Amino acid sequence: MTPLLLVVLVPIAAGLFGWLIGRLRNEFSFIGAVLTLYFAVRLFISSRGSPAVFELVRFTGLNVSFRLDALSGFVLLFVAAFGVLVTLFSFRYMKSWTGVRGYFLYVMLALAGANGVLLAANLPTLLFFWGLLLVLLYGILLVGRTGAERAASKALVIVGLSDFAMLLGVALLLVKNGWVDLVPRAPMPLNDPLMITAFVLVAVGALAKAGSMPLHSWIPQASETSPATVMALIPASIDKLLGIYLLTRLSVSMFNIASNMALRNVLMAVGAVTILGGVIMALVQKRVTRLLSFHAVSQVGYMVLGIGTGTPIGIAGGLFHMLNNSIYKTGLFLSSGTVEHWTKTDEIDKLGGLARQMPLTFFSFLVCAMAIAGVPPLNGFVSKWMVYQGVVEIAREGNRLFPVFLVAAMLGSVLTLASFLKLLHAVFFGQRPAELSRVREGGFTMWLPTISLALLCIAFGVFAYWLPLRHLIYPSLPFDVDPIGIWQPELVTVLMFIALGVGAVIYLLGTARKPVAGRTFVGGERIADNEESRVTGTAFYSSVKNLPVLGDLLRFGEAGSFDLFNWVRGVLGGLGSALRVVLDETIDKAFGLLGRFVLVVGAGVSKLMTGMLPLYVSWVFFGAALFYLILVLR
Amino acid sequence: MSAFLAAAILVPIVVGSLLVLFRRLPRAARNTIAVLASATTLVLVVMLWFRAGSGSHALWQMGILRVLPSPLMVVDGVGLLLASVFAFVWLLATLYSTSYLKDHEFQDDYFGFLLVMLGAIVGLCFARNLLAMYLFWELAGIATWRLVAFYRSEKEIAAAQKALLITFAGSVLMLIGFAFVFVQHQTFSPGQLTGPTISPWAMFLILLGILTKSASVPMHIWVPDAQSAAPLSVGALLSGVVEKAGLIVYVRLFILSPIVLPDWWPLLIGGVGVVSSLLAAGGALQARDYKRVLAYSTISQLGYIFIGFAFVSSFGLAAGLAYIVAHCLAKAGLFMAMGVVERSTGQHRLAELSGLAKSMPVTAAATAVLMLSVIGFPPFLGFWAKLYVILAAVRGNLVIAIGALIAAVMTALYMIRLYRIFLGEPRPGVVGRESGLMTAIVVLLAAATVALGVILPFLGRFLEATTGVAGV
Repeated sequence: MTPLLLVVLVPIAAGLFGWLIGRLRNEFSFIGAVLTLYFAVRLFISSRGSPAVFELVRFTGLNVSFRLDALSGFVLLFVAAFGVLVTLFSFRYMKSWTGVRGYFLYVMLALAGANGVLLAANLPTLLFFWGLLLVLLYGILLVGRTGAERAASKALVIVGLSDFAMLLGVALLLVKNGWVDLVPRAPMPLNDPLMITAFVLVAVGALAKAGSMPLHSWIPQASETSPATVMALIPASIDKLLGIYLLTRLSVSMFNIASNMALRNVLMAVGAVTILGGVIMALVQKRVTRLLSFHAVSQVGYMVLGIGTGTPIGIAGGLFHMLNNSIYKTGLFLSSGTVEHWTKTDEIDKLGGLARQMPLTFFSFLVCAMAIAGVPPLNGFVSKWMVYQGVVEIAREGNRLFPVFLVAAMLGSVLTLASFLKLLHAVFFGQRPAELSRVREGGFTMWLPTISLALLCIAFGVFAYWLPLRHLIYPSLPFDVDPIGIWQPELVTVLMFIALGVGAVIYLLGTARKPVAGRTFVGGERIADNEESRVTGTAFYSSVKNLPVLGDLLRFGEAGSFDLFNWVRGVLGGLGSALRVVLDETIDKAFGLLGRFVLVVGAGVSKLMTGMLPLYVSWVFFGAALFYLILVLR
Repeated sequence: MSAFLAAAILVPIVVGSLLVLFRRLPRAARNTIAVLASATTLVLVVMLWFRAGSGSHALWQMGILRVLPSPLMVVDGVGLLLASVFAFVWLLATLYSTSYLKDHEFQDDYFGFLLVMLGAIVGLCFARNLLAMYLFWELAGIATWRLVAFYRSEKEIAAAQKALLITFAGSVLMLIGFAFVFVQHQTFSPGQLTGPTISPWAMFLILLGILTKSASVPMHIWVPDAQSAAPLSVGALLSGVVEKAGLIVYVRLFILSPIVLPDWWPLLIGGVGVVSSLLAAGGALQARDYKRVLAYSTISQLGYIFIGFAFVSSFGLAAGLAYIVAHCLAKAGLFMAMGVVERSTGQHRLAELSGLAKSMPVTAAATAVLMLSVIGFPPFLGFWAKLYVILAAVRGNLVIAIGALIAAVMTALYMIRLYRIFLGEPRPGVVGRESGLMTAIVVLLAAATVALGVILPFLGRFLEATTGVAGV
């Protein structure tokens, strides 16, 4: 059997076996994930050559077929890799959760679905696996704490809404154009209003999957009730990879987004709003996973912004940022999962001072946090830098809006750094609450995945050009990316290490210690638990809440006023009730009136039935006379 | 050959009538007879496949009544497909009823009329003559009337009367329409019309009849009352099978016949379909008990099928047929799943139920599958059906397609609302319990939905052949 099929079928089989034979669940899942990775690696290697096509079945103008090329090959590789890491991490982490049986099945099926999406050669095939993933998302979100069903329902409705939008887009393309291949011979220009509509509809599906605003609201809600591994696997890695994969396909191979400036501006605006909206919401969060989930939303903005620029460097940057984000965001969610697993809480106020007890987790969290904040020389910096360049490049085409997008992107970066400084301080530094004194590092199944992700962040940052860009990103795009603006991360790294070394020498010499004046702490005093003596993580940026306009917006946001789900539910509910009241009840009343009318007429007629023969006879005569008159008068 | 078809129609009708007439049978014997009779029907219908072969329509014609100048029945792909699925679901529902209703009175009546209705439906699937259609149609209507009033309380009887009166009014209108056709063409057979058109009045009257039976705006109002009064097993058959009767007549008369439809026709049917599906989805969003949610949902889904049939030139017929099959399996399964809930908790109100997944995990899982199929997500059968309908609608009219998608989102909303009874914390005192046979049947239906959904792409050619309508 061809690996194209196996990479989809193997995880399904592993998941089903693990589900049926609960005792060997971990073994089956792990073997399934590793085998999937093996086939993905084989596919990745073969995808370096010319694209491979495999037709499963064809009927009535649709065909279900697979296609493998450079872009799907590398995304496939990473989906499988995240699958292995998350499965490994889950063994220990999921022990404290209920519903583990279904969890591993869903994880395996989600891998299969994701592989199916990536291999789909045309939009109907893609749509099939896309919807399958949504069903699995619903299932996997139900595995969680009390209230999980609300998040799951919200996800099903929001992503389902976008799926149906996509369905309409696909139908439009199929009907009006006759093809729905993801990679046609040449990209279509985007100037016909119908094509633009189709593009927008399918892009809505892609953006909803990636978690862009305004289709993001299920992600923060799910983060409160779902296991960190679910967040790491679905919204942080698979969903980002697939959503941006589709957006790239759509903007680069199916259509040529560069040909429509207005659409590019819209995409860039969506990106910019997502970056800022997500990060500002993140600043005021009180729980680690919820905070991370807002960053998961915010980071999508960079990818959308990059692809929206329509310039080669911007698109490459967006794609690279997708890869980087899935690496460090998975790392962050998994690290926070480790912390939560051992401390039994993810409320920022209850954490603190864990760096010494959990050095490995601290290291991976630190690296991933610096990567997401875009600190050089980590990978997040490189891709953001490419996105900035893409934005600057549109200025050359005469786009006056570019400063707005640039400022939004850079401001977002600064605020991300601020947000993560707060989180690092609150979780790993600061004061350690007494009840956390026995917390320690977990087994290797928990630290190995996080550490490898952190190392990947460093490798993809320092050797950005030699590894990922040259071998993964550039071959996936049908155009040459102008590499002039690429900075020299190797050189900077060397310089930074020199600087660090100098700093360490100075520190070790010990001459630079600055005396601190204050009341001497002799021990035994109680530390007042107020904001002056212990700056808690949540109070770190409380001043943001007091700003006039922004504060109101934040309050609205936290109350769900910007939640598309609430809007959809309200509007459709209203429409439904209006229709029901207007039509249903009116028709029901009309039928009731009809019945009443028949009864009244019947009662009137029955009054004539008196049982007196002469009366009946006279009626007959009267009728006959009437007939006679009618016949004669004609 | 003709013996098989005659047997498939007559066996259930005769056995059913006997059951109604002779009520002294012991319970076990009666149940066995009822199940065996519906199993026989299924076997006979399936055997017709092998006799008839497949791939073309009007393969074989039967004339029992020589006085009528046209063949009465026809065995073709459409009839075979629908009759097999319906008889299959019917057998499951009969089995299910032996357990579901075992504590109730009037069971002889119930099983008898159930069989009569099965015979009527099988007959309707193959009927080609307008009078034969009318005959089976009314037979099913009368059986519906008796079955809806199964519990025999004030409310149920009122609902049954309402259903009977409205559907009867509809079928009388339809009969007048048939009379128009006869006057114009001197025949009751759609295949033997003298010209390609029939008068708009006749079309309009027949359409009203079809809309009444198939529960579409503005003739739908009997359905929510009837289905919330009827036992859930009857609800399953009403919404899974019986309410498709109008659609069968529609297919025979307006699609698989030489009648040329006027230009405004697709828009009218599509409009009726989209309004129906939106309105009923609204009703389902507001209904307070699960019987009504499912009843409104049926109206909404029937609207979808009309949208598919409206734009028949392309995917339409395949779309509608796939949707009929998908909806039949999934909605019957949902009704029966709710039956399991009803029997163990005795509750109908959504607000009173919660967290049932803990006490009845199998039913909860099967319900999720059936629900997702109705919403139209892959890999379940409903996905392909919805995809086809949307494709047909986009070809026909974009506004209707968008309306259909809004209805689809509303479907997701009300189904999730319904599913809340399984989620969350269990309510003290309300504990569900699986019930062996009933749960097994629900699971079987869910499995059929998955299996057909996965293999449907491979059945694509077959669908094309059965419907005899060329693809793109």
